[in-house]
Amino acid sequence: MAGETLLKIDNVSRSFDLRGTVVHALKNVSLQVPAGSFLALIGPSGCGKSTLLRLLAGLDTPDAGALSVNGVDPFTLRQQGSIGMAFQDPALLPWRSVRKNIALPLQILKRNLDEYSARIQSLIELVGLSGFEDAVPGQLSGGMRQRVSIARALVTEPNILLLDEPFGALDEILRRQMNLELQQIWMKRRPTTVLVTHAIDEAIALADSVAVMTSRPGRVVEVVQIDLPRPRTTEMFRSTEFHAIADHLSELLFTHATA
Amino acid sequence: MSSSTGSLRRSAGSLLIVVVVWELVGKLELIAGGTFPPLSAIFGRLYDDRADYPQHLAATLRSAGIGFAVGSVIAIGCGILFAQFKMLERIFRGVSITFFAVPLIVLVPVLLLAFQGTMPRIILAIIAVYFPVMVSTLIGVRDIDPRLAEVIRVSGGTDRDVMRFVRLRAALPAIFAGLRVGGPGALLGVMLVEFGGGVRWGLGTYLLGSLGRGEPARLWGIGLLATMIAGISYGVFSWFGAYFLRTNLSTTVSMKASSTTLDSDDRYTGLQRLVLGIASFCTVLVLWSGALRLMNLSPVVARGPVAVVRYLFTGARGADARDRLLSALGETLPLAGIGLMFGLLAAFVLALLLDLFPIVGSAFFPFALISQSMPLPALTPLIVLVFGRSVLATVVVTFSVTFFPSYVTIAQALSSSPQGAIDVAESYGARRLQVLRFIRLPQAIGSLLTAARLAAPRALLGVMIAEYLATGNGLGNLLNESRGKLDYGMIWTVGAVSVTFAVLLTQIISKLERQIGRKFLV
Ligand SMILES: Nc1ncnc2c1ncn2[C@@H]1O[C@H](COP(=O)(O)OP(=O)(O)O)[C@@H](O)[C@H]1O
Ligand SMILES: [Mg+2]
Repeated sequence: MAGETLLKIDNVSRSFDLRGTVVHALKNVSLQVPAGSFLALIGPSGCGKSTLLRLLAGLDTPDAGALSVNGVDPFTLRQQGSIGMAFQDPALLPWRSVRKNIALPLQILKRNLDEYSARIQSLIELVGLSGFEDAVPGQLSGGMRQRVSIARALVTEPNILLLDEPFGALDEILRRQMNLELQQIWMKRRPTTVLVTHAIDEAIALADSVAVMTSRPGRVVEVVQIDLPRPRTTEMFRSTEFHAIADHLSELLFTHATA
Repeated sequence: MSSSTGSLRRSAGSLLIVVVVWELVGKLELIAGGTFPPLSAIFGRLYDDRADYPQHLAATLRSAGIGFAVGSVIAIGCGILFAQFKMLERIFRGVSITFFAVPLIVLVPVLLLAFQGTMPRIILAIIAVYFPVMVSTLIGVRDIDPRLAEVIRVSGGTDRDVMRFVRLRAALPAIFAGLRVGGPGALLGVMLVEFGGGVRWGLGTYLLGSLGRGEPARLWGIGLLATMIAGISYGVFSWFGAYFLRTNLSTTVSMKASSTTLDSDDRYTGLQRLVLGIASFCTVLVLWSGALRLMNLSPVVARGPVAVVRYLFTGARGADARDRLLSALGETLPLAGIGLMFGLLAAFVLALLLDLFPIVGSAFFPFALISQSMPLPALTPLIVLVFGRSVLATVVVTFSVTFFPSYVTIAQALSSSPQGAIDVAESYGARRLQVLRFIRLPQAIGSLLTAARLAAPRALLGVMIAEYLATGNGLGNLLNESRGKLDYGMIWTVGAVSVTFAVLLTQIISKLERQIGRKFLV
């Protein structure tokens, strides 16, 4: 399958056995987006978004179906160190400072840390944590920890970026700011990105395509293309186009949630 | 529990009370006619004897230090290996449990036969250190926050990276919890060998000599000094453990790791379990015979498993040996059982009572913590001194070695009970006694079995030390006698039989513990 430049999710199913009852976290999910594009996953909680992201990260294997990016399976991708991921829970090493937590993926890939000190510092500034370089996670608020984990996901400049509700714990203003920053970063190198989010406006602001998911069983009901030009600005959030898309998405979410 | 200044002040206050009461009781010769001297006399004597101490202390501390260091390295290494290779742990589980349950005193004659100089002391210290440190390392390294492992994996890390960046660091509080038990353990091991005789210098030698001469003040001085050393090492490692626990804030590593059971066998079928059990039993026998061969001892002196069976059942004096063994068992086991029962019961009742009166409880807790690290060899002569060479002394020794650690285990379980459940109960108007009955009591019962499992081998050891040193009964005496008579077969037999009983007992308790735990969990 060489030459394919796709993120491809092919008929993937994953279920969990919870003390006898089977939960279909994902059932026959198929999805294709071009490599280098930005995909958002949106849907009610429990519809399998995190499960799908973990499958893409090679942290879990599907019961059926296959996933790949440019023809390479997630397991191999993660061993190559091509994946940057921010988990729904920040999962920082509690004994490491902010700076050292961000440096962790570089250490794992056995890079020479001295060459990266400038990049680490600029990431710290980017996520608004200047002055907290030497703080440990226990001294940070939930939102700050989450920002550390975003910086950590970005530090290796990965080809595949997986973000699981990374801005969930942030206040509205900061969230908007971080959205714009993320767009900047993404436009510079265009990593294949999958963002899980609850927020419709965030999905539209950032994504090339939005996959709307629903639960029991977890599946994709529709993939909506977002053809707004880039860079997307805060003014666009007030445009009629933007609102039309937002209305469409919320209708999809609402009808399937009550169905 | 002890970090707030309030409880610190209470502890200091209760320390003062203990000192004053001790002084008065001693001065007035209230207990056993002067065998319980006042503190002033003890310290006076300690001062008078100051020229004797350095050499005794140096000898004991040197062996204990070496044994502790070597034992810790081996134990931490094994813990890490076992955490990585589950099958290895399962195969060696028999060996681990044997080291946990063996009444160390049965190894004394064997080690003295096999090695010269300070080696027997160092080896017994290593054996005493091994189990607590190995188990806490194993649990600390194994039970990490799984999310942290995923962070490493998703960044391209291997199992090795998870070990390097997460497991080893996350395990530090647990490892130190093991080391703080291991320190007093090393001291215990060394002093036990010193009791075995043959060495000129050592606190144990000094203690035994003073017991013979009946010098209460000196005896108490040595005992307090040994306790202080154990207490200091306990305190230092606790401090490190607490430090690393604080820095592990958002991960959940239990400081009580050393009281947790090994992996359960639930995921195996009955047949697999049987095979694994037999394999781990055979590993013990193989190691036993292998060690003898390595030490290159004459087969007359060194008896392997086959030789022991032959001695008991097919040998010329087999019937006689069996009789002596059975009558010794008949003396030792009931005493161990009684001491264990009383110790557990008292710990259980006191922990529940003091839970009702947290102020008294928090003052008492540090004492229990220190007392549980009091070296048994230092304690036994003191109890023998006060209670005479009697059965009562044996029961008191057994009681004290089971009471304090059991109290600590149960009190810790009580203090870690989910505050949420209590708040809910109280918001429904439950009174203290009801909270005690519906929340605390079930919890205390669960931890009672954990306490029993940890205390059972200590109870057996306590009885045997008392018998060995003082009362002239039971297995301890049989061991001592056989040494005198160069009855090597009996020395090994007593060792094998007492290990077997200790292992069986702990296994039965831990089975009960798992069943009850399951009942409470689901
Ligand atoms: N490791 C697991 N074990 C059991 N059930 C799981 C596991 N992971 C996810 N689930 C179940 O799968 C469903 C989807 O979960 P998840 O992917 O976390 O949803 P989302 O991220 O969309 O909120 C839920 O019902 C959840 O309980
Ligand atoms: Mg989720």
